[in-house]
Order: sequence, then C-alpha cells, then structure tokens
Amino acid sequence: MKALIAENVKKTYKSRKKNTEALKGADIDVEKGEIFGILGPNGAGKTTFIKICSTLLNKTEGNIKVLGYDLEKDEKEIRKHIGYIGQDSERSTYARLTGRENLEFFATLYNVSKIDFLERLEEFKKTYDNDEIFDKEVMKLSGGQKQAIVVMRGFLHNPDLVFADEISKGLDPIAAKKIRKFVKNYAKEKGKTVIITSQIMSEIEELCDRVAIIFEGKVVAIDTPQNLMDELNMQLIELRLRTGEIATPEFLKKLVDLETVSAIEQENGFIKLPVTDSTEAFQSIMKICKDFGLNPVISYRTATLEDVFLKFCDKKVELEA
Amino acid sequence: MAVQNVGFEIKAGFRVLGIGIKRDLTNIRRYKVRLIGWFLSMAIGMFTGYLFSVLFELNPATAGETGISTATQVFIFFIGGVALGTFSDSALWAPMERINQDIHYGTLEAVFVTPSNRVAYLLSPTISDALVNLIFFIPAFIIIMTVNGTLTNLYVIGTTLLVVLATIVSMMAFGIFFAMIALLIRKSQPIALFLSMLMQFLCGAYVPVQAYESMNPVFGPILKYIAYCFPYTYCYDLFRYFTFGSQYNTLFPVWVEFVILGVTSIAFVIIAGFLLKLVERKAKNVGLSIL
Repeated sequence: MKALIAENVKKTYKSRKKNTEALKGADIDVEKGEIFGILGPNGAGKTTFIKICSTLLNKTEGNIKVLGYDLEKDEKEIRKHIGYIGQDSERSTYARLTGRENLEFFATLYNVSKIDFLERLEEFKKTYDNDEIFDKEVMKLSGGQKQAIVVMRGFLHNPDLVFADEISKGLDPIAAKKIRKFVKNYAKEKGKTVIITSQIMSEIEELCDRVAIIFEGKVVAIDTPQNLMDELNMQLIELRLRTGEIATPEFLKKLVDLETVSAIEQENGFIKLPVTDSTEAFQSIMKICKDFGLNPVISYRTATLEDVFLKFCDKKVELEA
Repeated sequence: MAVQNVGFEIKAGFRVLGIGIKRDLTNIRRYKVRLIGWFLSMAIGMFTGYLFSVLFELNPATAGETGISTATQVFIFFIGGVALGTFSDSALWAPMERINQDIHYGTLEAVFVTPSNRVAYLLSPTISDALVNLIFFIPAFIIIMTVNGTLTNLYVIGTTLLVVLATIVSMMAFGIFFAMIALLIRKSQPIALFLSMLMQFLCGAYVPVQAYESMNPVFGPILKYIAYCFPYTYCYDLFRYFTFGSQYNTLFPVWVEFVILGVTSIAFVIIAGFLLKLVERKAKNVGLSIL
C-alpha cells in the first residue's frame, strides 16, 4: 500500500483582491517506508501541499489518499496516523515547559498512554544522544535543541507517516546535521514514511530515497536523486581565473565555439562550461587558455541535485542551456 | 461500539483538559511577574469598587426595583460586579489569548493537526485562569467584606463561590465564541473587547437589569428581554441575591434562575462546539488566521 497518493491537487487562495493559484495540479505518490523529498523554490507550493495532506488546509480540487484513508472523509483517522513538523517550528514549543513536558503535552493530545510515552521518550534519548534537552526549560535550549524537540513531537505517537516542512531551516550546519541524522535513523529503524520539504539540496540528497521538484504549483520532475542527476547527463568544466587574468570576449567566444561546449556562464569569477565530452573538451580548453596566455584553475564535475533544481526551476538558466 | 467510542472520546477530552490545565499552571508558576500582575489587577478592581460606592449613589428608581439603597450595599453591588467580571473575563478571554499566542508562536498548527478535542483544548486555559483567580479572589473578598462589616456568615461566602463557579461554567461557551473570532480574524481583540463590554453592560454588571424598564420605557424592555437570553444575566442576579439576601428582588424566582442558567449554559456550549467545527473548516478553506 502506498503511504500517499495525490492526484491533480489544486489549491487556490481566494481573496477580495485576487486569487492565487498555489497548486496547479500536483501528482505525487509515496511508497510506504520511503523518505520522500519535495524540492522547490519559495512560493512553489511545497508547504501548501504538505498542509493539505496533513489536514491543515483544504484543497480546491483533486484526490488525496493518506495511508489508504480518503482525505475528505477520514480526516480524524488520518490525524491519528500522521505526524507533522511545521516550518519555523522551533518557536512553536511552550518555552517555559521542559522538553519532556512539551512532549508529554502533545502526547496527551494524541491520546498516547503514559507507558507508550515513556517508551518513546527512551527511544528518542537513545537516537538523539543528548538527555539534557528533555529536562531543561525549552527557552534555555539552543535553536537546534528546540528543533529537536519539535521533530520528536512529530514522531511522538508512533505515526506511520510524518510530514516535515523544512526541518533544518535556520539551523547551523552541525545542528542541522544532528536533526537530519535523527530523522533518518529513527525513520529507517522504525520503518516510517517521511515526506520532507527543503531548499537544501544536500539535505534531500542525504535523506531522501526519491524526490519531487515542484515549480509554480506543478510537479516538474519526480525520481531518485541519482536518476535525476543522471538524466541531466551534465558534465561541467569550471575555470577560475587567477588574479590579474581577464576573460576577454574573444577568449569566451573561442570557448563557446567548441563543439563539445553547450553553453557558457560567468559567475563570481568562475566560468562554467556544460560539456558533452569532458575529455575532448578538457584538452581543447587547455589549449585555448594557453593561446590566450591564461593559466586558470580548471575543475570538472558531474551534475548535482542543485543543477537539476536549477534546470527545472530557473527559467533563465534553462533558456541559456 | 458507538457507546464505547463516545466513552473513549470523553476520556480523551478530559485528558486534554487536564494536561492543558497542567501546562498553564506550570507556565504561571514559572512566570512570577504575571502572578504579581494578577494580584495587582484584582486589588485595583476591589479598590475601584470601593471608590464607586463612596462617589455614587443609586438613583431612587433603581433602588426601588432592586432593594439596594445604602452605601455599603452599593459597594457590594460594585464589588460583586468586579468579582464576577474577573471570573467571566477568565472564561471569555483565556481561550482567545491561548489561540492568539498559539498563532503567534506557530503552535496552533501542531495542535490542530492532532485528533484532540478542540473544545477541551480551549477550555483548559479558562479553568487554569479561574483557579489562579480564586487564589487571589477568596482572601481579597473575605478581607473586604470583613472590613466593611458585611461578612455575616459562611453561607454568604459559600453561595458567592457557587455563583462564581456557575459564572465560569456559563461563560465558557462565550470564551469559545471569542476564540473562534481569533481563529478567523488576525486583529480579533478590539472586536472581542467591544462584545465583552456590551455583554457586561447588557447583563447587569453595572446597571441592574431590573432597572432597565423604569430607566427607558421604550428600549428598556427590549434590552431586558435580550439580557434574559444570556446566562451571564442570571449570574449577576444570583450573586447579588446571595450577597444581599431576601431584600434583593431577583428577575425570576431563584430556582428558576438556576434552571435557566444551567439550560442556557449547556445549550451555548453545544452551539459553541458545533460552530467551532464550522469555523475550523472555514479557516482551513481560506487559510485565514490559523494557517
């Protein structure tokens, strides 16, 4: 059984001045036990999609089944079986309660028994590997620790599916890594399905089995991160000019005229050249540099998830390509 | 099976209520400045009542309708208004404040994504506020009654507290109504404040409902009948009856007022629960205040 089936989901925010189409027919299905990522720029509709699936917002059109339950008919049943970690959620705890008191409060809202709650608490302590966050008042915790409490809140009632909206937003890399590690370990160990939105490519690459890219309210790509990168079939040669070296228009023209170079992009002192045959291109580029008396640092890489993201979400790059 | 489910839901609702009260009391205990503020507002309320009794006299018409005449009785009338006002404020404002605070910090989504009983969730701040109010109210009330020589017997205190309790219960539904406004409208407090003031005046916090007709023969009866619809009216009336004794003329016989109070309180809570579901659905549609 699939954890989520969403077909042609549309959402229009209506107001007196204008209507805003946040989702224009999104189709996403998620397997049970998957960690599924949703990537997209600001305003793409990621949060709207997550909120609709987690019963916080009504959709305008489309069909959604969450864990086999119909979103419209079985709302209460869905709420029992899903967890939700909202965006900017670090503040959403009760600051004067301890981490444990916060979790106990929400456990009661989910009608979790005392025994189950204590069991869950032990699991969290083991997976997160830091006991002190449970005994201190939340206001005395760091941002990362507060976020950890919020993330644990999402798993508190042993849900089958957890929706997580930008869980590491605003956190430093160490805290973000710890949160990601907790989510990955806990979800995989317990066989939970997690649907996570993010704008951090490395987060999606590290956590997710599959990913959907949403752009302007539509799903424009959906696959494993590796397949998406492979499909892009992109090899990139980057040139970084040394101090005093200038890329003249003639030099750039020579580069772009190469048969294996498909485009050229200059950014922050870097010259980026997507190529079709890296070996041949590498030699030709070296020769042109030598002819123009330049000795740049040349590096080579294959497509990253960021390139995939830019291909689908940055129209300017797409046109240039 | 259905009965079992209902039983399960009720039990879960009480657990939500309990943990909500525990959360609020823990918060209050750890936030001592708020406790001092609470004490000061109660003291100021009592002092204001005393000033009113010294500065004003009830007009003869009002005195005739209610049986209140002496300065001490006027003082008790106002103090009663302040006391009931404090507890009704708890019931009215606490759920709304909870919603506003939860919206501000983004906690509301985390609450509304749970299958928990929303009414129980909204009632918990009312009860915890009322409990804290009682801690300040009881000694303050006893001291002032004693100083003014009106603390005649324990019966007065007991019945006063009974009416206070009835007030909290009867105002709970209105607290939920106010919380609904907060769910739908971001700047909800001015509207709620206006409605609250209107209700206090209408239900006899400052002018007895008995006096409406003699004060204005045209609008007086209309206002009086509107006031009859609100349980709050009977709270004030009963409070004064138990404070002044048999010399005070109630709107209806005392037992009838208790029955009306009970029936209207339950009816309003049922209506509030039903409307809350509609409001949540509406909020989910439009993505208003909560979302």
